[in-house]
Formats: sequence, structure tokens, C-alpha cells
Amino acid sequence: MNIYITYIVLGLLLPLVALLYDGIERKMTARIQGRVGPPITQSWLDFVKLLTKKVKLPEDTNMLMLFSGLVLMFAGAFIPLIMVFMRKGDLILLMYLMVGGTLGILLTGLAFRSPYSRVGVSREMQMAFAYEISFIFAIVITIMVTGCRTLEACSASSIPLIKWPLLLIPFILFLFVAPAKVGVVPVDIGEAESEIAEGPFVEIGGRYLAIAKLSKSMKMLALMQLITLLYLLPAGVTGVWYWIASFVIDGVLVFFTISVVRNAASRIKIDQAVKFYATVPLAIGIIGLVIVYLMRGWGM
Amino acid sequence: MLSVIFYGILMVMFLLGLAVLLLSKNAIKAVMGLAVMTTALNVFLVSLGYVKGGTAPIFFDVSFTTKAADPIPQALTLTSIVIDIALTALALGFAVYLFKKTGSVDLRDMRRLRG
Amino acid sequence: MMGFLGLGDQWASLLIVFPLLGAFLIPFVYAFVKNKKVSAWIAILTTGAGLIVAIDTLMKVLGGHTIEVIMGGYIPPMGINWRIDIWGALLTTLIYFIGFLATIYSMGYVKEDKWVQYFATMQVMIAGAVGVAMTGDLFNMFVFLEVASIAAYILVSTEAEASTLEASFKYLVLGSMATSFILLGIAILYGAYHTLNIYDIASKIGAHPMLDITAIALLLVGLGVEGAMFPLNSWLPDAHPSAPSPISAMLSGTLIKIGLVGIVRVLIIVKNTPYFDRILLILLVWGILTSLWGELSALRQKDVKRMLAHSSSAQMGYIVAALSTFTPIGIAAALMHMLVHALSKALLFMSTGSLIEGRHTRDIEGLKGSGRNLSGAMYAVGALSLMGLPPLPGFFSKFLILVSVYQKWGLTPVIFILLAAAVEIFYYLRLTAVLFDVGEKIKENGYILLSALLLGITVVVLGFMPHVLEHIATAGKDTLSSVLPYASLMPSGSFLIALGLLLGSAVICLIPGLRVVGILLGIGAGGYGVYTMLGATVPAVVSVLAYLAVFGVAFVHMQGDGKADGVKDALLFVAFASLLAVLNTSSMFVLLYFWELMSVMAFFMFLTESRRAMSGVYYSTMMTVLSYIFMVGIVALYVGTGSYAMSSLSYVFAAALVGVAMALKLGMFPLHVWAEYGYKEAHPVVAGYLSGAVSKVAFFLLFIAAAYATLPAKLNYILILLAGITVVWAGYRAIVADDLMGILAYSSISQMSYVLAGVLIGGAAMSGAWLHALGHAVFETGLFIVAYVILLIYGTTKIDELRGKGGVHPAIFYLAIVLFMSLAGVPPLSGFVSKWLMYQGALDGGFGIVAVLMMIGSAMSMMYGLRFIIALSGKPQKGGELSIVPLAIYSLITLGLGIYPWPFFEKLSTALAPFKVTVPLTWKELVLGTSGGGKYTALMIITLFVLSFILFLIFYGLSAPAERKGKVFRGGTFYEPTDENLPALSDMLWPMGHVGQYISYFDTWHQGVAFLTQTVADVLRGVYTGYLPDYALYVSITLAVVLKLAHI
Repeated sequence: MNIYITYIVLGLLLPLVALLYDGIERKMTARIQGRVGPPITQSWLDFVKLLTKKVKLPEDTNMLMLFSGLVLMFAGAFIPLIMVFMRKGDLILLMYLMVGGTLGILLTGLAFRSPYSRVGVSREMQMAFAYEISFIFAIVITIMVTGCRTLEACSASSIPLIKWPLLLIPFILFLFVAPAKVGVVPVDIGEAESEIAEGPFVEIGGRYLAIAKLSKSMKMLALMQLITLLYLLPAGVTGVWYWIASFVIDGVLVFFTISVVRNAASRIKIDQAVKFYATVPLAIGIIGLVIVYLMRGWGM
Repeated sequence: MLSVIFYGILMVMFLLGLAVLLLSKNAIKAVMGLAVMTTALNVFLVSLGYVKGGTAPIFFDVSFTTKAADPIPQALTLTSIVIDIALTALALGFAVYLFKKTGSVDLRDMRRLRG
Repeated sequence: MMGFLGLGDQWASLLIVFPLLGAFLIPFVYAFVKNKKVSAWIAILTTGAGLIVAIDTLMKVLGGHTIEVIMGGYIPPMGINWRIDIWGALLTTLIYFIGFLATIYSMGYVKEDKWVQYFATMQVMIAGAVGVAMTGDLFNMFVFLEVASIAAYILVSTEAEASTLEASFKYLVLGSMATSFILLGIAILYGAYHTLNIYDIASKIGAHPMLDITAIALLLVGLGVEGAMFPLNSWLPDAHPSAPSPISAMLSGTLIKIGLVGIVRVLIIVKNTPYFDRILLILLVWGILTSLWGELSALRQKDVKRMLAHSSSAQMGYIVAALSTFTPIGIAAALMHMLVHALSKALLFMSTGSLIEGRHTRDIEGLKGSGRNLSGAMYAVGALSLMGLPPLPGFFSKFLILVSVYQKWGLTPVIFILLAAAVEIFYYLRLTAVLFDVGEKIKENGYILLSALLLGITVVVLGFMPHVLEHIATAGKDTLSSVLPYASLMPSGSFLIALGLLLGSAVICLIPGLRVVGILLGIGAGGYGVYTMLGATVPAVVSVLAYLAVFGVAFVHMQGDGKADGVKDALLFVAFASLLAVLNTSSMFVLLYFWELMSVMAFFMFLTESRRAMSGVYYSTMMTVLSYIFMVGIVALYVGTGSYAMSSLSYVFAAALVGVAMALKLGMFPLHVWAEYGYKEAHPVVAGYLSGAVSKVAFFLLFIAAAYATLPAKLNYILILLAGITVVWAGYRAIVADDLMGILAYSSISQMSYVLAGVLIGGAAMSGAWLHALGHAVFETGLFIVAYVILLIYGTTKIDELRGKGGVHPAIFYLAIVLFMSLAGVPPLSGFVSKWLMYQGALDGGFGIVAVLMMIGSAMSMMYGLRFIIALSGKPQKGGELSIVPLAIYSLITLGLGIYPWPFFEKLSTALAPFKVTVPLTWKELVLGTSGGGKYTALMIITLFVLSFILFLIFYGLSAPAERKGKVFRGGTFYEPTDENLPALSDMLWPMGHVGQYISYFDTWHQGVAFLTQTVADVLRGVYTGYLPDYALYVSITLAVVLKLAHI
């Protein structure tokens, strides 16, 4: 019974926290750009506003696909979020759930018969494939180095990066993956605002957009917490300190991987993105794997 | 056993016939080569029956104690000669028929079927 | 009959008397009765009478009694005797049987004005051939050989045209050369030992080794000319085609065998000499050379009879190779193949003769489409028998040849033989495809049809009576039952009933109008078959997997509109019956038999559609090559362990061969190229069957091999790595495919490679592999069913052509999405569970690279699966509604097993226990974690899903409603999304598509191999220059070579 209560409590709180982080990120971006920026509670307000807006969808929208796409998106961000904060669950399962979230985006895009959304789906698909490779290398190297396969086991050590210096490689890979997965410039090609009018999300508004944005924020927070958990946070920390430390580190990470990156470059093209992700992070991943093998011996 | 020279000459004759067969460009010539080969063979065959100092192996004329040549090779040779006649006749017949049909007995023209 | 008149064995001399009598009577009677038909009847009479005596003789010999006929009362060795052993008796019977049928055939083939000469000469040929077979005297053999040859020379040019006359002339000259050599050899032997009797010489030989060897060499070369050995067979590709078809049948069927029997007699002579083994080795090499050269020469022929002639020569090579072992099995193999080849080749010449008569051409392209009739069916029987495919007798003889050669000479010769056989498979299959194409019907003559039919029925019946084959091949001693355990081929009990029902429903499917009834019956019968095998055993599990796939494709095929649909269904059910037979046995021999039978059925499935026929040829040829690896494994198993029992697969070498063969059949890189033809170019129902059911059997065999034998670690690792590469390689090709079937084809290979890797990795991955095999049978087949629906509605599966269209019934669409998600591995569907288990296993085993490859492959599967789904997302159309039933069942299975997989794993544990394979998955282990620490906490996931859904609904409820109105706005105007201007995703694969080119380019390597083979084949057949002195040169060179080799 206890666990279900925890689920419900976290389930209600964490989305709020995620939106808060979204607001924090917007603030940080604004400050970098020399603006004041919206208050950090702005995202809450935006969410409520969107919920109350009447929305018009094109008449030939495939409602079932839209619905299932959004559910998948939501679940693909929500469940990992709860898993990482409760430190329960299998690592690979988590990765697949997040991939399921991407699938949700794709299904949403397919629900509309608009060329923008279709192109968005195609680009998002290729982008996802490109960064998934890095994600996979990162997870596998982490598992092979630390030997942990579940979030409980992975959090049972001192600061991981110090205990296993080799974890630097997957950490770097995650830094590559994060902006792409969360969908910020320069690699938010699937939802390019100026090129393809937000891609899969071109036609949605109101409550659907609310869900989509919420999912995006939850995804960001989940990813940040995952990085923290795997590489930065010593598990000795428990109780209140655990939560405080998490949130602080998450905020720092958000700053570096999202805000800074976002303001540093403009959007790149899909072929540049795919080419990049298929070479640099892939090379790093392969080198990492080779080093792991060398260190534990090739014998198999 | 007859002398080595004898067998040597026969072998040369056999090989000559073979050579003609291998080098001929004319169908009739090829048949001739074949005929020479088979003739050499026949001579060889009949020579196998040679018994030094033997007489003709005629059943009613010779008693069992007299030395006689081996009759079997003679029978074999006769058979062989007959076969060779038939073959040569048939071969020449084909050659003539081919000439009637195509106007040539040159082997180089007879290459309709190949590969 | 033999005791009649107290003459005993002497009756056998009638075997010469009858045909000679006929040869005399025919022109004699004609001089008085000017009716040409009488000639035919006389010929039939004498040949028929001879046939009766021949059969009687054969019976006697099979009873163990070697018949001795003494000519003229003169006792051997002075007198001439006939010593009829099994070689003589069998060949004589064959000569009479084929001669009898050829005589009837000639009545429909040869123009009546030639009948007198023709039948008379034919009788002489029969007499001569029989004489050679039966005699025990060398010179007698020479004489009869000449008699038969002269008759043959004449008969070749029955149609007197320039080409046939040429052929006759060349045959004559070369034949005379040959017989001169033979005579020379005989003369030398006589000079040395003063006897002409074969058995007498055998006892005396050895005193003059130099002379002996020279004589033997001469004899072998001379007999080799008649026996079609390379390069002495230069006359054969000219003579056999030039002769009229019945004579070709006799020449290829029987006359070249007398050369073979002559060689056997020579071997009898030298059996006890010190150089016997050297001669056997020479024969082995010679035989293999002949077969390779012959098959390659046949490959590029355009004249069908010339192709058959080269093939005859190659087949003689096989027989000589078997003979060169001179072991009891080898001799039995040679005898059996002599029998099978004689009948099959004669059948081929007779049936193609009918087709040639109908189309008045011998050109293969000109014969296109002429085979959809009884003659074509007889052709198919002959061809299948010659290719060594069940259910025809050629299977047994070819297999026996392989066993005997492997046993005595090892692996290398077997490889060469199988290479030659693979070439043969290709060109026979290609010819079959051409003949069974669509084309103008031909008229068939009654006599021709009757004789071909009789011969065909004989061949088919022999295929189902292997005990007769064994009885004959062992001369009545029946010693082959351990090598050829044909008795175990017969299924029993309720399983037999199930198979019978399946065959029955196949027949019903062929009846127009009753096709649906047939399908329903077949599905039921298949289910009953699976039911009879039910139990917690591995074959039972696999049978369920296969049945799931077959059920789906058969069910949806009830909604078909093709003309040949009934044939496809019939073939499907026969194939499934074979499949069950494969699973229901523990004898590798039985397994091989039914596996090959399945392949035959698969090939014919391709032939039902003209445009897919050549793909079927390529696919079947490639699969046959892989089957040969499998076959070598089984042969090695028997030779190495003496048994065909599955448990003896602990013999690692055999298991490794079986394992590798099956891995390749699952599509392992780099030999996955067959997928292009077998899955992509196939009809969706056929591809669904192949991918869904057949691959599971291959998986089963792979599992068996890996379970019984501990494969060497290096091999294991290489296979696992290759499997991982295949996952990614095939995945990429699926992403960039331009056809829905292409996506599914490479997807199937990619997914089965997961299974392949999982089985070899073991541990948790093993359980994952089994679950994934089940999943694959379900979701992949389901997608093939969807592709079939698309084909039904739109007539194409190419993505470009479906642009804007491609919509299906909504239920089908959503079910397809569910199956796609399982394919992509989205939790909580079974595809995720199986993949997750495999990752755990891979990580447990330390296979990090493979784990990465598998995960990347999973990401790829999402991409290509999505492409498939997108192609379906057009405006919904009616059509293919029957598919909803199997798709719904599949979706339920994959969802259910994703949430609650434990019952499956429990059954699996029980099934795998006998193989000492532990499936580390109990309820506790899954929830609490595998040994490596992973956890699939389904309960938590479900809870969270539900929670998220509730939250979602809350937001939904709290929000303002949405209205659906209006159109998409783009570029300043309202956008009319017509079917045309919605871009197809195939255009939008940039930039990934570009890399795909290089990968696809690499996959064309097999075309390079094909081109190379063709070039080599053209060079090899260039040996037959047509210039007679060249041919004479070949004979001379061969003599020189054999002399040199023999004298070393």
C-alpha cells in the first residue's frame, strides 16, 4: 500500500516540478540572452491556460492515432520520471520507455495529413535513430563498467564518476544525447519551428499541446535525473539531502546542456545532424567499448 | 613372341594412323587414318597366335601332339576385320551423304554442333 | 521358367535371341507384307518378350543366384560364357524396359516411312547392349559393343540432316578409336595370359605388371568414351540431341551405362592387384572432373537436349565416383544411381521430346510455357528425381553416393560433388520455370504420352518403394537399412492420420470451387497434427509456432483472387505436413527427407506466378546450397557415429555443419542475400509461410545442434557476432527498402538473427530467443498478412505506387500498429520482453558489442516498422477483412505474453530440460531479477501506465473540448491534402537512404559469383569445338595421361 501512495504522491508532484524546471530553464535562457525572462512559474500558468483553450483540429485528423500518440508520449516521459526519482526499475526498460515516448511523437505527427507534420515525422525519426545510437552505447558501457542493471543497484556507490573514471565516456555521450532528446536548438530538427512549423505538433493546440509540452518537460527532468543518478550523485546521500542534491545538480545540468547549448548555435540541417551523430559520438562510443574490453579482457 | 622390330613397326603404323586421324582436315582422310589404325591392330592381333615352328591349326589335319599356331587370335582377327569393314563402309557412307547435303567433306566445315 | 525343358540358365540366352530375331524378321516380313505398321508390332513383340525374360532373370539374380549361360556348349575359359550378375541383370532389364517404352514412343514420333529400317536397327542396338551387359568374355564384350555402337551410329542420324550426319560421323570415328583401344588392350591381355575370359584373367593377372597396366589403361579409356567420361565424351553433346527423342532416351539411359558396366568388369579384373587403389583414385578424380565439367557445360546451353546430354555425362561422373570407393555401400550407390538415372533421364528425354514435337524447336526459350500438361508433369518427375529431391528415388541414390564417397575418400570430394550438383539444380530449376510459364498449349501424341506416362509412373512408384531400390542395389542382400533407414520414413498412429488429412485437404483445394472448404479443412487438419504432437517437448513448441504462422496465412488466403490460388494452398498444406514430419522425428535422415520435400513444395509455390518464377529459381538454388551443407553434416554424422539419431549430434563436426547451415538459412550475414528472392519477391502468403513457419524449423535444428554439441568457442563467437551484424545490416536494408515486402523481408531476417544470437549466447538470452521466435511467428507473419491485404486491394506492394493510397480497414490498421510495436520492442508487449531478455543474456555473457548491435537493431526496427505503418495510413478502404481474425489473435498473444509471460517460460523450462539447458526464468526470477541483475517489473510498469493514463484523463477532463473543423493551412492557403501531394516517406529518407546504396551494393556479391560461374562455364564448354581432330586429340591425350598416371 505504501508504494502506491508513493506513486500517487510523486505522480502528482513530479509533473509540477518538471514544469518548474521548464520555467527555470526559460529564465536561464532569458538571462543569457540579456532579457529578464518570464517568472519561473510561467510554465504552470501556460499549462493551465492551454487546458482552457478551445482548439480546432482539422476534420480529417485520425483521433485514435493522436490519442494513442499522446498517451505514449506522456507515459514515455512520466514513467521514467517516476522510476528515476524512486530509484526503482531496470535501466534498459527505462531506455525503451523513453524510446516509446519518441514513438508517441511520431504517431502524433502521423495523425495529421499535413506535409509539415509528415516531414517532421521523417526528420524526427532519423534524428531519433541518430542519437539513440549514442544513448545505447552510453547505457551499455555504463552497465559493463559498473555491472549494475537496475536503478537501485546503480545508485549504490560513491560518486560514480570518481569511482569509475571510465564512466566519463558515457557521461560525455549523454551530454550529446540530452539536447537532442529533449529537443532544443541546434538539434530540434524534428520540431523545427521556423522550417516546418513545429513538425508533428503543427496542428495541435489546447489540451493536446498542454500534454505535449508537459511531456517534453518531464522528459527533460527525467533525463537530467538519470544522468545525475548514474554519474554524479553518490548514493550515500539519503533522505532530504538526496532530494536537495538531486534538484540542485539537475538544475546545473539543465543549465549546461540545455540553456547554454540552446543559445550557442542555430539549428542545423538533418543531414549535418545525422552525419555528426553517426560519426563523433559513435566513434567515442566505440572507443569506449574497446577500452572496456581491453580492461576486462576479450575473453568470451 | 615375335621380334621387337616387328612390334615396333606395328606400333609405328598404329601411331601413323592415329596421327593421320589427328591431323586430317578431310573426312575421308580421317577414315583412312582410322583404317590404317585398325589394320595395324588386326596384324597385331593375328600375330599373337604365333608359335615358333607351329603349323596351321586346322582341326582335322593336325594331331594333338603337333605344335600348331594359336587359332583363337585368328578367329578374333577375322571378326575384327569384318567389323572394320562395316565401320569403314558406314563412315564413308556418312561422308558421302554429308557431301551430298552440304557439298563439302572438309572437317573444318563440319562444326555445326559445338559448345 | 528356367527349369523349363531342362535347359536351366540357358534360357537367358533368349535375351539376345529375341531382339536379333526381331531385327531379322522386320525387313524379312516387310519384303512380303508391305505394311510398315507390322514392323512396329514385331518390334514391340520381341522387346516385350525380352522384357519378360529380363525381369525373370533379375528376379533370379536378386534371389542370390548368378546365372551362367554357356554358349555352344564350350566350357569357359576356352568357350564364351555369360555371367549374369546384378550389374548385368539390372542393366538388361533397364535396356528392355526403356527399349520397350521407346519402341511404343517411336510409333508416335518417327515418321512411318522409316519404320522398317528404324525398328530393325533399334533391335540390333538392344541386342548389342544386352550382350555387353551380360557377357563374361572380353572379346565378346568388344563385339557386342561394336554391334550396339554401329546401330547407334545409324540411329543418331535417323533424321538425315547435315547436323545429325555430322554427329553420327564424329560418333563413329571416336567410337572406332575407342574400340580400337579396347581391342588393343584385349590383345595385350591375351598375349600375356592367353585367355579372354574376364574371371579367368582376374585370377591370372599380375604376372606382367607393365603389360597389365597398359592394357587396363587402354581398356579404361576405350570404355570411358562410351561411358561418357570427360574429355572422351565430346561426341555425346552432338549425338544425343541429334537422335530422335526415343533414341536419345535409349542412348542416355542405357547405352552409356554399358561403358560403365565395362569399367566394372575391368575393376573386377584388377581387384586383387597392388595397383588397384591407384586405379580407384584415378577413377575418383576422373568422375569428379567429369561431373563438374559436365554440369558447368550444361549450364549455358540453349538447346534443351544438349543440356540434358551434358547432364547425362555429369551423372555418369557421379556414378563413377561412387564406384571408385568399391565398398559395399559405394557399389550399391552406383547400382542404384544407374537405375535411377537411366529411368529419369529416359523420362526427361521422352517428356521433352513431346514438348519439342509440340513446338517444333529444341530451343529452351522457344519451349517457354509448353509444360503445363501431362508431358510437363512427367518432365517435372524426371527432373526432380535427377536433382535428388524427394519423394522421388533420386534422393536415395544421391544420398547414398555422398555417404559412400565421404566414407572412403573424405570431405573434399564430397564438396566438389555437391558444387556440381548445385549447378545442376540451378539449370534444371530454371528449365522447369521456363516450361511451366504461361504459353501456347501444345498437342500431345497418344503413343508418346502413353510411354512417357508409364515411365513416369514407374519412377514415382519407385520413389515410394525404397525397399525395392535397396533390394536391387544390394543384389538381394538388403544390407542398407542402417545407411538408408527408409522404414522410419513412414509416420504412424494418429500423426499419420493428421498427415493424411492434410494431404486430403490439399487435394480438395485443387478442386475449383471447393478451395475455401479445402483451406478450412487444412487448417483443422494442421491443428490436429499439432495436437497429436502436443506435450512439453521442443518439437511440440516449434510446431505450435509454425502452426500459428500457417494458420494465419491460410486463413487470410481464403480471400484470394488469383488463378493459381488453389495450387498455392495445396502446396502449403503438403508443405506443412512435411514440416510436421520434420519435427516429429528423431532421425536426422527422416528429417532430411522431409526438409527437402518442404523445399520442393516451396519452389513450386513460386512457380504459380509467372513473374515470380525466376526468383523462385534463385531462392531455391541458394537454399539448396545451404541444404547441402546440412546434408554433409548428416552424412558426416552417420560416417562418424554410425547413427542418424539426433542425440548423436554430440559429434561436434556434424553439429557444427548443421548449425552453420541453419544459421545461414535464418539469413546470417553475409549469406543473407537469398532474402531478396525468397521473401521480398515472393507472394505475401508464400513469404509469410516461409518466414513464419520454415524459419522456425531452421531455428529448431539450430537449437538441436547447439544443444547437443558444445560448439567450439571461437565458432560460437563468430556466429554470434555475425548474427549481430546481420541484425543491423538487414535492419538498414529494411529501412531503405522501396517495397513493403522488402521491408518485411529484411525485417524477418533481422529479427530471426536476434533469435540466432540468443540461442548461441544461452542463459537468459535463450529464453528470450524462444519468446522472440514465438513473437516473430506472430508479428512478422501478421505484417505479411497485412501486406497481402494491400496486394489484394491495390495490386502492388511498392511504396512509390502506394503513395497517397494504401489505406486499409481501420481494424486492420490498428492491429498492425500493435504488431508493429511488438516488433519494435515497445513495452509491455512480448517483443520487448524477449528483446530485454536477450540483452540481459548478452550482457551476462559479456557480449557487449552484440548487445549494442541488437539495441541499434531495435531502434532500426522502429524506423522500418514505422515506414510500413505509414504506407498503410491512407484513406481506409474495404478489402481483406478476413485478416482481422488472425491479426486479432496475434495481437492478443503478443500483448498477453508481454504482460504475463510466465506460463510460456514454465512450459519452455520443461521442454528444454532434457537438453540440459536451463531457462533461468521463473516467476520469482523475472520479478526479482535475473542472475545479472536485470528486472522486468511488469507490475510496476502496468501500475505506472495506469497512473499515467489516469492523469492524462484528468487533464483531459479538466480541459476545454476540441472541435474538429476546417482544413490544414499551409503556405498562405488552405491545403487540400489529396492523395498525391502528401509526400510518401520514401522520398523523405534523405539522408539515410544514400548510405543504403552502399549496403545494397555490397549485397549484390552473389550476382558476381553467378557471373563468374557463367564465365567459367562458357570457357569450359568451349572445349567442344566441333572439330573432329580436336576430339580425337582429347582421346589421345587422355590415354597418355592415364597411362602415365597408372605407371607411376
